[in-house]
Amino acid sequence: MSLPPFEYLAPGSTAELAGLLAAHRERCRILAGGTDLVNWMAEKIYRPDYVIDLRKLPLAAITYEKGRGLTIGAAATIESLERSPVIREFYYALVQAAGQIGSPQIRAMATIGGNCCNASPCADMPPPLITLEARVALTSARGSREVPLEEFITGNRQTAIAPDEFLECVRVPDPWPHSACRYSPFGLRAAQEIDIASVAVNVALDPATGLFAKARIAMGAVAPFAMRALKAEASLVGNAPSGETIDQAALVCSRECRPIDDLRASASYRRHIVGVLARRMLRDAVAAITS
Amino acid sequence: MKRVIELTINGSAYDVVISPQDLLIDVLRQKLDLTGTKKGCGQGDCGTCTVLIDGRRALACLTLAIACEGRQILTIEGMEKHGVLHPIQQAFIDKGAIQCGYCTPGMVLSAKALLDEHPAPTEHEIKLGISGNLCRCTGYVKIVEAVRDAAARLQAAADCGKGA
Amino acid sequence: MSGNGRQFNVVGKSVPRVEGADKVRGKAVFTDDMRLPGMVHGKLKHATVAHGRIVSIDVERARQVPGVLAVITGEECAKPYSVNNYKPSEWPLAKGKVVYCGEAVAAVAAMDEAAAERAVELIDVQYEELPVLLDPREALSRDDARIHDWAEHNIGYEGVQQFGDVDDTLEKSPHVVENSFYSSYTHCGFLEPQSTLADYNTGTGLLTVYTCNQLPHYLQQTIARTLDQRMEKIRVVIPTVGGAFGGKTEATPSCLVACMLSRQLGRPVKITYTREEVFHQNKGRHPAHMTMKMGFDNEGRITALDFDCLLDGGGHSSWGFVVMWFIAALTHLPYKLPVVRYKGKRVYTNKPTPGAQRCLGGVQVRMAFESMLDMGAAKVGVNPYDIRMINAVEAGYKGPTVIEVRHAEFKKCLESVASRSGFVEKYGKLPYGRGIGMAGGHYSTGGAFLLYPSFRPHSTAQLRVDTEAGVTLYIGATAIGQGAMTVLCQMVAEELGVDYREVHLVCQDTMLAPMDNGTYDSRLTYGSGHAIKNAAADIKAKLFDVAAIMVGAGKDHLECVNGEIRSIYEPNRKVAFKKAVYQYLSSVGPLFGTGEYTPPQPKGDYDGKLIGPSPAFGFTAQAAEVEVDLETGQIKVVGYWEAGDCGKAINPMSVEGQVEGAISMGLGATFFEEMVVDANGRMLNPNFHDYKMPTALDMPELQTEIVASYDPTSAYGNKEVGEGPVGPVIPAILNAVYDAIGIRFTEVPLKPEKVLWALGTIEAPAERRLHVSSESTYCARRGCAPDGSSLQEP
Ligand SMILES: Cc1cc2nc3c(=O)[nH]c(=O)nc-3n(C[C@H](O)[C@H](O)[C@H](O)COP(=O)(O)OP(=O)(O)OC[C@H]3O[C@@H](n4cnc5c(N)ncnc54)[C@H](O)[C@@H]3O)c2cc1C
Ligand code: FES
Ligand code: FES
Repeated sequence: MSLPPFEYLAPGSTAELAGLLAAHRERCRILAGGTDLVNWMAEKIYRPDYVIDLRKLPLAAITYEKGRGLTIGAAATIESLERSPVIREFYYALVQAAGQIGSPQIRAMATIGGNCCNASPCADMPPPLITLEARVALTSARGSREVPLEEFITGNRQTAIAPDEFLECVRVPDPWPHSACRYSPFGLRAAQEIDIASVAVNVALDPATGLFAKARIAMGAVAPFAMRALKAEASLVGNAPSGETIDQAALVCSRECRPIDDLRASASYRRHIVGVLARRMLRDAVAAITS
Repeated sequence: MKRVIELTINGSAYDVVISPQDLLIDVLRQKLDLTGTKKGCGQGDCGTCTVLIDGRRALACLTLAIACEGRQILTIEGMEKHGVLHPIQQAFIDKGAIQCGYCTPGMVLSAKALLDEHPAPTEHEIKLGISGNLCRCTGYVKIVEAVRDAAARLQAAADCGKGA
Repeated sequence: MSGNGRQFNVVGKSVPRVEGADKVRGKAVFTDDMRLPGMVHGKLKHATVAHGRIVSIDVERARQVPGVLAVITGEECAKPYSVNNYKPSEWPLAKGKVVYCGEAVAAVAAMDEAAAERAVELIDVQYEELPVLLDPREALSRDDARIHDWAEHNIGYEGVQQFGDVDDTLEKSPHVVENSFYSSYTHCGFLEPQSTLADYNTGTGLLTVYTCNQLPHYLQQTIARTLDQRMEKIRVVIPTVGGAFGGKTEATPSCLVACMLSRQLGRPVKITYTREEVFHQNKGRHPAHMTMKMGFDNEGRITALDFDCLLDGGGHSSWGFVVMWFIAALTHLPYKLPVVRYKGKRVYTNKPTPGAQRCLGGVQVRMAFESMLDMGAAKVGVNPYDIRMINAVEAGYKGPTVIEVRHAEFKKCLESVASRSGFVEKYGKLPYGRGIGMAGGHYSTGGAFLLYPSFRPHSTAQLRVDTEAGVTLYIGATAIGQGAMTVLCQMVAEELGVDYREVHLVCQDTMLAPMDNGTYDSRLTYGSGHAIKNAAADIKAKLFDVAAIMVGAGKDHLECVNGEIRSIYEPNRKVAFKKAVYQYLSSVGPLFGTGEYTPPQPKGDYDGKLIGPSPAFGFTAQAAEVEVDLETGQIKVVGYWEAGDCGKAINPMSVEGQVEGAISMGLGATFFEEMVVDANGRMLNPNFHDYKMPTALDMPELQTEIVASYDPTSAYGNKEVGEGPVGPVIPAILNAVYDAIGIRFTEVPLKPEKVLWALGTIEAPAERRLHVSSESTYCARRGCAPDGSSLQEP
């Protein structure tokens, strides 16, 4: 299938990018890895007049500084995330998520910015990022603003980005003390899989009491966008990380999610799997903290 | 609007007239007669269009040709040197890893990307490395064997090079 | 010794593929890789409704698109077609009505693909929608909504085969089991989308068709009949084929349309399908609703089988009648079956048409039959391995049909997998959640049935030997990735004592190569083997006249080995092969040999008897060990064993490759693969992300073994391997899952949620009737509660 015609632009600076976005607004689309955009153009879902490629811009860096947290440039590839030693050390759930996306080819092309902006309900990066309290930096000629990722993704394929803005980077604060994060997707095949459901958890224990001090849980592919399991989180905090607490929280997760029936799985199965994954991930995370 | 761009493919520079919306797969196959790169799905799902761009795996069916200006593209046609097959290619033949051959070019390039990074991959790393390339004919058994064998050949060649 | 015993020089060696280097260099030419001077591009417009009368097709706006050269519709089509012209129902472009969503209704030829795509978008088709029938059971009851006017109750074909008194035998059998099964709607999944480049020469009137097809001679005939073009004015050339698996046995609408457009424009026209079009074209496996009732005596011998099979035929006729009868035939092996009744029906529905997929008919039968055997074993109180050994056929077996087994090592296969997998020690004794299962299978190697309506040989080989080209084999065989070219060259090399890489092969071209029945029914290696052996004998009979004098030995005492012709008794008496050839050409004249082969024709008299009998049968036995994740329902295959009797393996490396590929196809069908249509008949997953085939990471370790075997009726002792091994995969897993959790699944794909539905962990959606049965025998045998509880607690 051929793509509809467009004009191709590859700005050399973010200022230039901002200028182009301001000029073309809805008539343009940003191209990062293209793994979503090219398919969408081939299916004629998008017919932009301008395609603005990020490839010449210095947006792919991954940096970590204690106290300031992690900064992932929008154009950092999923592969580079998966391989980043700092991410592996401090934000393991992101490695787990990155390692599960598509195939080695897709991971080498796809970017974190594209994954967040595409806002697919079954995207793998948003759930762990949300549990890690990630914020996205949105930049335009008007300036820059930061929005929690959770608020940035507003619906199935919908975000809060303005037509003249681009996602510059994703910022993740320092990990909570005594915490661990874990992520697990669930699908049929071992590779090239689109999730039936996924769960990310990020929990911290109070070193003094050993009780859950903080908890965030996000669920993918079971709502129009990655959703927090707020009730389940609340059920953990202040309680001991016992099998019982965890089982209870997992049960709450499966009640909280809002899955649908589709080709890939029934809603009831998705609900059930969310519970299983939540339990497994919470146990893994607790084990990681206590070991 | 059509324009002329320069693409560097397998070490040679080509001037190509393209439209911005032209995909790398179509430019390779239709404009440059580099038909070794296959199009099994056109949607990123099968890996038959795998090429290496600046040494990294890329799917030519999801890549704009125009975005490849200034980058090094390696296709299956660039694997052999002066008529001598690359050890990965030879291993594929010797180990019976080729049946219909439609997945083969993409598979070989995925294997190359894998072995460039992991010269001595484990069985799991091999399977992971080719997990973006579907093969309907072989059940992958002989492909995994061929990649393992290729790793040994490359290792032997490297050791031999060191010794000399 | 060459050819005249069981000792071979080239046959039996794992030599690499003759075409391997081209393929690995990206130099092998597939149809879509081709370009001819003046070539233009074609594109099809597809129906957006699954059942509808075409009210109007407006092509005016499409014609206006710059670059568009021609637009055609069903009005331009002369005749419908189907396999063997049985109930032809399919048109190159739908005429009058469409019967599935995705059916081609119009076509465009344009200077480039973009223009063709644009024009296709602008074609406006209006339909009067008709009731959409998606389930064959419903279609049967809707005579008011016929998909084809002439098909009463939407039945395409139906037939009964009966051998013995089934009702009486079942009544008298001490043990009877009964169950129903549903095999799913799968696609062949070849990676190369179909492509055709048609080139009509206005000067000579010759239509040359380059296309990826398994049956070039049969395609030639279809084109002739459908497009009113004389056979002699059609040449079908098959470039490299990127996988086929049965799905490329028929003409595609795009192929016929490319021919029509090329004829109209007088220039080459290429049409290549997108992956979505490949799925809509389908021609994969027939989903089957099957009911079996099987009787056993007290020793576990099968007494009788009552088998009802309802096939979902989709919109068109395709291979329907062959599949229906093949299923009947395949029930008769690999176990002795004295009394049988088969009732088959193939019913039209408004879905993309199933056709032929690797192990045609076998996958459906084996799924049901092997499950029934395990159920029977439990009832009789014998081990699943024993029940198979008790009933397994052996050489010389003649059942109630005309099917005759001249050679079989099936029992060896069963013994091998049983001992290698530790089946008897493990069965029923693994912890709850883990289980082992076994299944057997077989396949024919070319039947008595000839697609080509004539009584000519099914396989023909011509050999030309001279000093210009060396040894050249002209043969109608088609390679589809299975390794045909290499084994054919090995056979010639074996006979004439030349290097297999030196043999030139002229094939896949209806003008240059003699008629061949085509690549299907695993007939190629067997039939071609005989033909090649005969052609070589012809050559040798001629050449040895001359060589005998040169060598100074009796003509009957000569053999060809290592580039020489020598005396069997005094190997030092010899002459170079090339020298003898030179001498022959100079003194006698051109050196040609021909050989042919036709399988034995069955003598019986019953419906469908031509479909199924075969000169030889390959056998396979398989065992699977699985682990069920009781929380998620995921099933992991932790061990997989296969043993196969393919006769003499001409090329063991190729044989292993066939078996491994077959098992991966079987595993895909067991766990993931299924085309899904919505209530309106629209396919929801015409792509590789939601039609899931196994990736490298999904494959368990496969332990295959080629059992020692030699079929004396075959040219090189060889039989079949390409298809049979697909069949046992589904039931081996289903039987293993039963052993693991006591639930007998009778439908595939076995998605994890179904496991949880069956375990009662979650509730199945109301509209979803799951095919499972739990048998009391399981708990009794394991001495545990249905959830295995008492077994786990010490
Ligand atoms: C075969 C296949 C398998 C896949 N498997 C998975 C999977 O397992 N898990 C998963 O999560 N995803 C999967 N995807 C989807 C896709 O790969 C990811 O969403 C990917 O991260 C998108 O990144 P990209 O750089 O390719 O985005 P692009 O396609 O370049 O862009 C996607 C969208 O985001 C916009 N965009 C991109 N970057 C920016 C930016 N910096 N600022 C503003 N807008 C921007 C684009 O305009 C476009 O609308 C798969 C895709 C394919 C084709
Ligand atoms: S053709 Fe590019 S992945 Fe299939
Ligand atoms: S060899 Fe045919 S798809 Fe891999």
